[in-house]
Amino acid sequence: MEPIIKLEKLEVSSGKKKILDGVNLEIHKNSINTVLGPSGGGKSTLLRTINRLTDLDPAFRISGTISFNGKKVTEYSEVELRRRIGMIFQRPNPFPMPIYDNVAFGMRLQSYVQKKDLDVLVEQSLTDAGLWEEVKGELKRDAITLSGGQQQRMCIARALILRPDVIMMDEPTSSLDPTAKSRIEDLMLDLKEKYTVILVTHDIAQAKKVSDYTSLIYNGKIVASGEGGEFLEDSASDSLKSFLGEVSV
Amino acid sequence: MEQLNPFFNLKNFSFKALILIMALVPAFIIASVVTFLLYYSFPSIIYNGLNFFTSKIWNDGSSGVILHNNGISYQSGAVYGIYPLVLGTVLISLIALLIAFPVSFFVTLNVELYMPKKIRGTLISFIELFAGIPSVVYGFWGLLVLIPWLQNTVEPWIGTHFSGIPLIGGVFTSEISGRAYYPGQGLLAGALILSIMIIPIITAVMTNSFETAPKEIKDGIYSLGGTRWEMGKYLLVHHSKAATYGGALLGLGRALGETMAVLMVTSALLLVPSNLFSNVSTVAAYIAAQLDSAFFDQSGMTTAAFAEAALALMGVSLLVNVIGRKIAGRGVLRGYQND
Repeated sequence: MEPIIKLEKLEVSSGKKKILDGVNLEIHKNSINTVLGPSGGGKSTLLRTINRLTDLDPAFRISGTISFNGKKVTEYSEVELRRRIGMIFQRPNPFPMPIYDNVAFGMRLQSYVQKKDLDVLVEQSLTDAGLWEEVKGELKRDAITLSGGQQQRMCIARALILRPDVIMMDEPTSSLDPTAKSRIEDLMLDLKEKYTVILVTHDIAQAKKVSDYTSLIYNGKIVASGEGGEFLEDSASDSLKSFLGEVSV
Repeated sequence: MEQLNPFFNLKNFSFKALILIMALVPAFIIASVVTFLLYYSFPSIIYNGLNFFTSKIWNDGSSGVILHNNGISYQSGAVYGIYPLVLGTVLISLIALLIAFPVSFFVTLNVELYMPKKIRGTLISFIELFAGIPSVVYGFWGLLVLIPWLQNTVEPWIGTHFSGIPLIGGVFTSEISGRAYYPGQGLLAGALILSIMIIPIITAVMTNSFETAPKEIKDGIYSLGGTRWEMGKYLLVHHSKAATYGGALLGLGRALGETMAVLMVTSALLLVPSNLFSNVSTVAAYIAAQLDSAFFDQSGMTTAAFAEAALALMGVSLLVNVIGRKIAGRGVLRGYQND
């Protein structure tokens, strides 16, 4: 099957520092595609290059090709691209406003939507994000007062309301407790039925639990790729084995 | 147990006392100014009562005919009212704010979200430089450049195009004996000069606040397909709301008390403004323009009346500044800790 996103010979540098070095990667539809690697390996930059958030900083220089649905990402407007490739960040980032307004934020940016339609979309998104039952009676509550795990699921709902093709998650559980982390992982498995998920993490256990496809990134290079997450130990180089060993402990 | 050197204790005590005294100096200065103004304005407060703020007439009375009543001296027929000045001050300040606020917002938007970092620093320094220019320079420029331009170009254009608008057309209509009259010097000129002077204040507060917006929030908005313009609107309405109000109030505080530049581009007449181009004066400008004549009043009541006007101006300016600073400084990073 044709990959939904394809990276070819992608190189990204900022100043004199090369962050990504000749990355080739295919993202498969309706799957969880995990990019696993140590901190500072270029994982987040990879995601930010796909949805062109790096374009906001003139210090970044980019070469190579990224295609999305067969078209180069530069052929899309930044707005359209980012609405079709949603992104969840390492730390939950609710806006200081009620839950309803947070989830509806993206829709309101796009165009005027009637209140009753917006109500339906907000409910659907919160349901898809597994949060509706917990917050349905308090949509006017300030989102900042939710727990960390709830905030992150609300951010997922906020991305889902735009009905993106792809959801990129940048270490979405790194600031959460084990219970909240487990809920997000289960949610990822549900989400892949409707969406394509790209997960960036340094957590091997998480990669093994949820990944359909895993790529190992080290010093800006993809050093190993394969289905699932079990292959990692066999294919890792010595330096990567030490990283994997550290994280696995 | 080791004994502390008594000399060290004395030095420590002296240092603490010195710091305390220095810290109290500003409070002492403000208290002494207020006390001085209260003392000097007391006869006027008793003599004029609330009429001081509602009367449109300022008349020192008959020179040399001094009357005495309940220990208060005044010239016969003296009436002191600052209603036109209060109205002039409020209108000039508010119009200046109306002009300066959107300009400051667009400058901030440009500086923070559109402009390359290299140019940004230069532009911010340039705007800060604006705040350091003496107000007499602005006034001089206003007198020689702004007023002729307003008189010959801007005011006639506004008058021609806007005076026919139903309900609000009168605001843009200036006539004497049925003929259009555009003085240049007046409400619009004062407001424009003031707006130039307060733009750096409002812009500084806004840019500071925009800069402190958490990266997570900016990333969140951009990743939802938000544009830079939508980011600016979000920051203005949500993140920087408090700072924006505070900045506007600080600007207003400056505008209320500004004297020299306003005096040079407005008249020193006690007129109730009837349109955008009216001759008008402010409390501060009127005090500066007329105080020397007050000393000819042997009863001292005219000086007392000016002291009361100054006291009122100081009170309002201080209040606006204190509220502005409080709001501008209020934490707006709800739910976020800076790493």
